[in-house]
Amino acid sequence: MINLFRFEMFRQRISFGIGTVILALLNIFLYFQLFHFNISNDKMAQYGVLGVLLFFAVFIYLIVESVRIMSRDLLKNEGPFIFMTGHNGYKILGAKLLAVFAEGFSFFLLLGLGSYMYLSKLGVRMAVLPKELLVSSNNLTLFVISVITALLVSWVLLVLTIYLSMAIYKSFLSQQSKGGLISFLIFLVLNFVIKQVIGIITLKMGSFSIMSIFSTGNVNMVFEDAMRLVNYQNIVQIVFAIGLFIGVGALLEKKLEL
Amino acid sequence: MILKTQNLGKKYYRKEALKNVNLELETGKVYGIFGPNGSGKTTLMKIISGLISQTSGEVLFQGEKIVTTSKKDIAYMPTSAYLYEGMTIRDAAKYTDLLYGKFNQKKFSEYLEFFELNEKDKVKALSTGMLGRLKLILTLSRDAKFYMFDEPLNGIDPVSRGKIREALIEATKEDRTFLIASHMVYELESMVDEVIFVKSGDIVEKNEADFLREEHKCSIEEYYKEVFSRD
Repeated sequence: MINLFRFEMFRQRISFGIGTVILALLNIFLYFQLFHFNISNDKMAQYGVLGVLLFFAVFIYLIVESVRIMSRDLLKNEGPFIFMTGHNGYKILGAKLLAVFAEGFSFFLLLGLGSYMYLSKLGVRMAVLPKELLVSSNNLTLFVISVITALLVSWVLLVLTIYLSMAIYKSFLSQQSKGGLISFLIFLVLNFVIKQVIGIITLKMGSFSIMSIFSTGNVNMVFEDAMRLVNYQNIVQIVFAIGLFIGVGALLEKKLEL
Repeated sequence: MILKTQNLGKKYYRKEALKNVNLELETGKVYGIFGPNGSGKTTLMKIISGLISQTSGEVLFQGEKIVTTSKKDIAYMPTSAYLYEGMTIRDAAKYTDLLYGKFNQKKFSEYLEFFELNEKDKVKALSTGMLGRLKLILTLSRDAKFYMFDEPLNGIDPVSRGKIREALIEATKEDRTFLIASHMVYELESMVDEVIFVKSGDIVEKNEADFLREEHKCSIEEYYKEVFSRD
């Protein structure tokens, strides 16, 4: 699988390189803005909004990249080169996911560096806030880890749902004239059903309300509740992701029509 | 025997591309599979290479059902331009070696020289003829047991066709099994040991090339024209 991964990284090298350079340049720009110039509160707020937008843009880009990495093999001509290699469908799928994961990891590392610089500067300005409104650093770290895991698992789940509909299109629906449309509808329905089921299961495991911050006055307790819920959701999503991985791998292995 | 198909069938929606094909290929022979466009040659090769699955029947490779790992010993050259365009010829060789294994780098270099290809050239910059040659040498440089070439001369200029024929003739001297599909019978008939005619998904003839020439007192191409102009 390492060799398949190397090949996928090779095919991604241009988009990977461009994305890395852009994010690195943005970090350099941010560094000088934050630490070498006298930056106003308004500008700080603007950078915060831009940072959040950039974060979502990278997330969306990675979904597009995930689609591209599979569609070039399933929907365009390049598939035979990979699918004649003697590597099974699971390895091929795993290598593709790993390649996009590596790209995402690198991008989010750079985004994380930018966020760290921004939050460090912001932290200095927020030092005036009352102590009871601050979350303990231990809880905050665990919460950030849970949220990052949740984002990663949601992304994998979404990508696998897309891959499943593409694999269905290139297997069971390959002879259907409206195969593309049907597989897109399958994607929408599947996504909706998975979200609903995950929502129902997670709700059965517990709930929390941000409003309880005001009723209890304990930020740390609310954070712990939220973290627990996010973790429950992560577990359910991982189970679904494993199921989808097996399904897509099996279709790539047994039913593909290239 | 290296390959055997038993009642192999393939349906595309309502069209039957292969109809209960029973075929036995012996080790070390060169088979020419001839038939007009749409006769089922590519479908048969794609099933053997694992790019599509059959609707019915089975394929046995060296006596066993084809599994993913069998692909290591089956080298197939499809008609499509399946190489990633952003790579150079050198990259194509490197990744064929990495992903397929059993890649003969020395042979590849010799073929490059023979076909006058520059390993620094990008795939997207190659003409149809050059790409055809590259696909051929990537396939021939693999140390596989069974080789399949789908229309290796299609869209290729006469000079390149001659070189491809030359390379194929040289390669077939080794003890390996070849299945070469084409509708250009004249170009290939001198190099094949056995001839397979495919018509509308059916094998309508499978025999020794020399036997057919003697039996019908004509070349394989003339016999092909006779068979395929019926009804």
